[in-house]
Amino acid sequence: MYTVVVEEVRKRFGSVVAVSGVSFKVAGGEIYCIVGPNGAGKTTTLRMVTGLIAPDGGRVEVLGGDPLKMSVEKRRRISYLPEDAGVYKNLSGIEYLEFVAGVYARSSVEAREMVERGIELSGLGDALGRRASSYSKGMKRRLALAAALMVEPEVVVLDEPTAGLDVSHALAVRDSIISYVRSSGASAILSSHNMLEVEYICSRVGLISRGRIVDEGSPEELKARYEGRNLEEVYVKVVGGVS
Amino acid sequence: MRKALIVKEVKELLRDRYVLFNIIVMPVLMVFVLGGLTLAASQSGGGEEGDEGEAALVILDPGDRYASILAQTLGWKVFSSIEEALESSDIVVVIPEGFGDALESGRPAAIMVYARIDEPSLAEAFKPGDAIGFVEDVVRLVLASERGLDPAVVLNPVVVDNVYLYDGRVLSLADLGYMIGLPLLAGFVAFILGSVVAQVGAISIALERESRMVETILSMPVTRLEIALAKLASVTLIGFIAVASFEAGFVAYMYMALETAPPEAGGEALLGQIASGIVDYMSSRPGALGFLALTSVLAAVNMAILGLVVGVLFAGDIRGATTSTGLIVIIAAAPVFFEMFIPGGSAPAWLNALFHASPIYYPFMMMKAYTAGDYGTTAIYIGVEIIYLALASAIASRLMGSEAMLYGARRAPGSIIKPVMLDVWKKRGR
Repeated sequence: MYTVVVEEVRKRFGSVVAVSGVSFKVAGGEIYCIVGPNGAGKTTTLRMVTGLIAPDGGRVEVLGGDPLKMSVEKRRRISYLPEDAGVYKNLSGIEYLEFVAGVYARSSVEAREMVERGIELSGLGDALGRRASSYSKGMKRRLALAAALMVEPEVVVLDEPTAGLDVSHALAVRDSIISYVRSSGASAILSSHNMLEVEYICSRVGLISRGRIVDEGSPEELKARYEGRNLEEVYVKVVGGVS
Repeated sequence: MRKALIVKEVKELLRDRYVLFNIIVMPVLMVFVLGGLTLAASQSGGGEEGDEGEAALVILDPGDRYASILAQTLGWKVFSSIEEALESSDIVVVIPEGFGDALESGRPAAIMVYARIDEPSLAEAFKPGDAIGFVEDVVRLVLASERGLDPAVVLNPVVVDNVYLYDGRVLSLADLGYMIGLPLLAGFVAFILGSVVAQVGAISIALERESRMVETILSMPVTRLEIALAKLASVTLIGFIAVASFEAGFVAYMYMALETAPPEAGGEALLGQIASGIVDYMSSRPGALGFLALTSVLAAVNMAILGLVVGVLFAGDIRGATTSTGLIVIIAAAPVFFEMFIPGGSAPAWLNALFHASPIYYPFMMMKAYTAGDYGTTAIYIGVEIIYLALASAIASRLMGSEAMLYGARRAPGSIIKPVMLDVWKKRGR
């Protein structure tokens, strides 16, 4: 049973073709990674999956419905962490978690539980009481990821979740994602440039280039198909090196 | 509407230093700036109006020596009845019986001044100012010469009772005070509230963008309408803090105007009379305060929506938000200031038509019609303002639900022009 189905999706901004026929499917308990160079169409694809922008053509289905027409109730089951997402600079970390919980939860008890989970997931401790304007990029990213996962979504969409993070923060974020998907059976779609990360956490990988998925498979399948020692070699063979 | 969204908006906005400056410091500064402008405009307006036509003199006691001196010195037409004099001139100075006796006994002598005005405005209120000044000067010089004094030490020789004739009604200066003052107050409140909420509205969008939260919030389980309404509610709420600051400043300014008001009909005196007029009117008609609140809310909500629209389209950051809304506010406020200080009907038809595009023009005009007792026109203005509100809401919620919210700032003129210019410059360099 697929929770996310993307078929021949296209999107153009003026004269620029951002996505020209992307297709993939994601099942529950799966982490699907979209990998490709800058401008390949990763973020645009993820925005269409979350219903932020409308595709010009093709079909997107999330949890059995069109994300553009999704009810608020169904939208509670989806969570999105944008590539350059921040947090409100004038709110403290805990206030931010309370705000997100206030929007997602149906009751104050549920909201409290969400915030408790968020506190644990973020690992920010006492720093949660400080305003987010004083946080480092890594702290903001961990807080934003904690907010995205604490609502226990059935579909979580993560655009470059570890971009700009140092090694230890990136490792903590990756472990949080794996642990969440394994324990909840949720579907995760993430984009990344980091091939080590992709190999480490993804069940399946879609290689995207110039707005199209050019190949797809598990990291092991792709390495065998292209005779690469790792995904970096596969990526260069399929997508091409620096021109 | 989600409480969490409103709480977030209010906290986020009230902790921003630009917003705090806009809602606490700015309104108080504006009171003194606008007060000074009002005073300057009223004083200059009085001079111009007073020069326009000659006054008439009504002498009720033909045997009064001082009245005869006035008639000979001023050279105005002299009548024995007020009705006859008003047929000849718009300004009539009445010298009552006992005028000379009062002066001879060393007391200030009372005169009545009738002024026919075209509309309740500051300029019209000052219409009899010059005529009163001439009478005072003549009396002062005569008394000084008779008693061998320096004219400068003869203070306030006459006491003036102003009567205004407007639209078939007889008004005291206090009556005219509220008719001028309440629309002025409504205009100022609409301007302050409107400019603050427009700026705060645009800043609320800019804060989403600066915090890189636009995508996150748009992907949350809330409708675009809920996002728009939460912003509108919190921005309007914050706008009322600005009004509280404005009103504190206004009370302080009016208190100062009353305290410093000299008895002659100078600018400060007129402000004092306006203040008295407003206080008396509000005390006797509590509904007027409610009507002032209604006009303020309508202006605030309309300007908040305008601020949100400008924010979505142009505010990439807080500076962009304040710059873009600053320009919009000046354009929106111009008709109000024109109507405040320049007698109506003097603007060309095309300019009058343009005035009606401003959302803060209506609150001023509503109050003007309301205080003049023209309830039909008041109702029309309320209706138009509500239609304006509905249209603006529809546009704002459409924008909130479109890609403009995501990409608006990137497509703002500055963001488009810069890359294009850079491209041209690079090509020339090659």
